Amino acid sequence: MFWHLYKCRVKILLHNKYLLFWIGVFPILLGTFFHMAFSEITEKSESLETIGVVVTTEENNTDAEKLTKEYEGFYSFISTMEEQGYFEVSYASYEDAMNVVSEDEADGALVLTKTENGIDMSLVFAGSGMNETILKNMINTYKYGEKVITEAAMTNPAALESVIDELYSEVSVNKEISLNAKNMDIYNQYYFALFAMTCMFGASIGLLNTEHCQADQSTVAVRRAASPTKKMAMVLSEYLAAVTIMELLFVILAAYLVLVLGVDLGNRYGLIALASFVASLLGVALGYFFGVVIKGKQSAKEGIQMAVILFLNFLAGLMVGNMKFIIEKACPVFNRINPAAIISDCFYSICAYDDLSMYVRCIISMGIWTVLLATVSIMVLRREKYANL
Amino acid sequence: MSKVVEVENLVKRYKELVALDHFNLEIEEGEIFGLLGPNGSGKSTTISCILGLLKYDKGSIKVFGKTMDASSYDIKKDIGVVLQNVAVFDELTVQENIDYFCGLYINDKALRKQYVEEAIAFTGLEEFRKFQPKKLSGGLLRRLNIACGIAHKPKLIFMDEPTVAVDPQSRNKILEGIQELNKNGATIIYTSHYMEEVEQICTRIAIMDQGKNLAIGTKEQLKDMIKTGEMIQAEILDAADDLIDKVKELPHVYKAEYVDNHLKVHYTKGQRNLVRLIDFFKNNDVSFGRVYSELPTLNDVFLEITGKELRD
Repeated sequence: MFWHLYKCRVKILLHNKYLLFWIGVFPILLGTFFHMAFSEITEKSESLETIGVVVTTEENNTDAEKLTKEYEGFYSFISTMEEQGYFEVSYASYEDAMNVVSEDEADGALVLTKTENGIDMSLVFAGSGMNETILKNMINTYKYGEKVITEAAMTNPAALESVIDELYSEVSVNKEISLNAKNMDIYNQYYFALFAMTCMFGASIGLLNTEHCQADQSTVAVRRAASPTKKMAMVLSEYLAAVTIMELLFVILAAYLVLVLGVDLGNRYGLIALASFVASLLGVALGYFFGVVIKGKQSAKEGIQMAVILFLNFLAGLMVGNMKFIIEKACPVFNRINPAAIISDCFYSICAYDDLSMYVRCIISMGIWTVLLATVSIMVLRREKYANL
Repeated sequence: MSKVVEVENLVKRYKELVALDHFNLEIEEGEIFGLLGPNGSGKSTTISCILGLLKYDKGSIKVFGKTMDASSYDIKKDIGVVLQNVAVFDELTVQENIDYFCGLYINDKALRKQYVEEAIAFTGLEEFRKFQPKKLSGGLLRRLNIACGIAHKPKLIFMDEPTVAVDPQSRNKILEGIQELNKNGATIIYTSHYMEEVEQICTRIAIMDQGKNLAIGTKEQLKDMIKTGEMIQAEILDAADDLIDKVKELPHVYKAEYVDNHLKVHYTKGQRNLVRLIDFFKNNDVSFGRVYSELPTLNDVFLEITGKELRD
């Protein structure tokens, strides 16, 4: 009986074009668009040129190169940038430097001014492209570091060492939580967000299953309720069928990304598979939950469910990139309980961290959510008599 | 004959509305029992309560001599349901649908396969077994609906208006099929607001209105319950003023009226009423056109009991 119900439900779901589009085709289309967009960005990044910087000063009778060398820290910074191929540095008088910038022979002019405490610096640009932005950010970073160290040296020299350590440690934190896979692409987080969204869309299958299970929702459910088959067998077999379909569509999506688009998802396929399975359980359970708690017509339930899921996805940053960080600042606990955030965190942790603690935490959270939602749903669905049909 | 269904003092309320008002019913094994009543009279509610799907406020229901409840799985396995609205999966083919619903009752795969084939043959859906429901005509869809409800060979079949929106040809096929199921041993509870259907196939009939069982019996017994035994209509162009009074003096006439150039004469019973009326016309120089006699229908029964037409 169980397998008869399971097989038929798989058939029913596989023939449902609406579900197949939103859970199967739509993520594939979205993945294709991601790939097209990221390929363009990657090509542009790869063709990034060395930034031309002309160093100058407004001081009369002062040689810019000489002035630069007088300040060891700044000279070291400039030299390192040049050695590493980020900057192509030249020195010129103020007038010549302005000409060089205006004629587009350099991306920007770095104007040095002597002050009581050292030197101040400002940037002059002729345009506003990628190179100009990078140059501005790099100089700002240097100025920030210099300012912090100088202030510490003046106000509390004893703490200078710890301040330098602190500055260093800010960088080293990033090193500790390094990307795990040597060849992991930074754009993978978008594909993992796509996985998360797909799993959330599994709620549509759960909702459809509840429609066919509640005699006050559909005539098919009336016929089923009049049969000697126990509700529990129906619910469990169909839940399993829903997760099977989710996994099938997930495998197709992942295979398409890897084999057709050539996306490198790293080498942690086992973790991805486990995450997709638990996330599918949660997604489907969410649909069951909406199906039993929202009263009214099926179309109304579908609308409310979709709105809630899209809102949760929005808060989880699956639509606007920094939304999750805003929530993390304002109300971090919400990110811990928002199913969409948990699923996306789970997939993100696979691509971002060597350490599995976040992954495990997310898997446990998803498991708890699934048990809660499924328990409530089963309790309502097991009800066998209705007030009206 | 044993009682298959016993409903006693059933009360079902939807908030203020009383859908079933101390409803009583007893159905014997082997019957085709008709529940006749207008829309909203409580027929479907009665069936849903008997099937254990609806909560009710008061009363008791027994099926096959046992108290019926939602968890009465041993009783449910012998029951088939054909719902008013077609209840099939659009995603499955005709054969798959029948197999699915048969599978809710029959575990044995080989036996199920045999039953599915028999149901397909019984409903004449052989050519359409690979079709999806949305590709079927209204009549074929109804037949599929029936096949899904009877494939597991139930002893008791509930048919809730199975011929709604079906063309006459398909309707006749469905009605013939129901009689055949009955001949094969199934007890059938048939609801309809089409009195002709009920009259054609049902062995006993209950007339329902506003949640009450107004009358119950064979169609002959029901017709005997009312005053009208025969009604004769005659086309008369110029009726004299005293015609109605004279007609009312004829034997067995209890009511006469003249409407739209038609004289309608209602008789309680009696024989040779038509001959006597024609003799009366001749003797009184009444010129008449078409004259015809009608025996009472279930609609007349319903009209006389409730004061309204069955299809109101």
